[in-house]
Amino acid sequence: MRVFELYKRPVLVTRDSAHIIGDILGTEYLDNNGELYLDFQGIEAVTPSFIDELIGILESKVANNQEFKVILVNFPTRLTSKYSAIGRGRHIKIDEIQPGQWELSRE
Amino acid sequence: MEVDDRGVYGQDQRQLILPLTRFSTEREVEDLVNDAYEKLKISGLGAPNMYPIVSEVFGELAMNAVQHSESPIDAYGAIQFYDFQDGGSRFSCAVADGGIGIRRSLERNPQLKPRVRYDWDAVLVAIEERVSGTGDPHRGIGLFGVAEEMRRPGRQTIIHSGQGWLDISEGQQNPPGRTTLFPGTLVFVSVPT
Repeated sequence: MRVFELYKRPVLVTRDSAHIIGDILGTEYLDNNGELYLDFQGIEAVTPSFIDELIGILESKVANNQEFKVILVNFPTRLTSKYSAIGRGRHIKIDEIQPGQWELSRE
Repeated sequence: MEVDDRGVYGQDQRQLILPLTRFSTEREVEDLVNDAYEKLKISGLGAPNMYPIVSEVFGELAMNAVQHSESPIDAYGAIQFYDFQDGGSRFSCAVADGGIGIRRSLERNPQLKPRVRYDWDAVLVAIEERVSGTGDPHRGIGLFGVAEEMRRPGRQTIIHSGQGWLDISEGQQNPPGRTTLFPGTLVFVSVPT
């Protein structure tokens, strides 16, 4: 899923705006391994509040199977302590596989 | 309103990224932040890798004001680039409101009320992870995230709410203090570039 196509703007700020992804998210976006890829190409900045809400939405939408895994591609920011804290608060582990690529999975 | 600016010489208008602007809705914040980001890119001022930081921090502060301040005069924000004669340059953001203040917002959460008896306690509690007057365990990320971001070298955050004051800078955090009354909440951040 190409996130920029949903918003057409470079900075994602509000918790409400995270629900735009949630509203269209369905199983058709999962690949054969049950993984979801969100491509942030074109997005230049996101607030921690947006990410926090997005993680909550993803967990509720994609978490039917225990193998919850979401890959954020071309993500605009490095994984820092505040984002790790956000993940912990949602019981989601966040790994930065490489610069610009985060993997979300259950703790 | 007319401002008497005789004798005040004009500055490079590119440095005024977001002039003092009134806002009251989340939609306005989203628009302001994106407009500011575009203006930062066009300006070419400072280090481009600071543009997302400035946008993100301003967005969080502005959203806090909209969601929690209950300000009868709405909220105001500004973003400015400063180029100092000593060679340093900084981006500064400020968001202020005339609302209920951090203490009264947090004390709506019964679990927090004993911890926020005074404004100077409240400004400290407000930057903790997952602390929110809403009581929702999934809220309370905004100011925590800003404080974490601003602990890096050269950066500074000042939070002034009611009579409470907190200064976070250069990896350290001074104890919160009591100061003169600000009838609402003001947050100022400054980032070297």
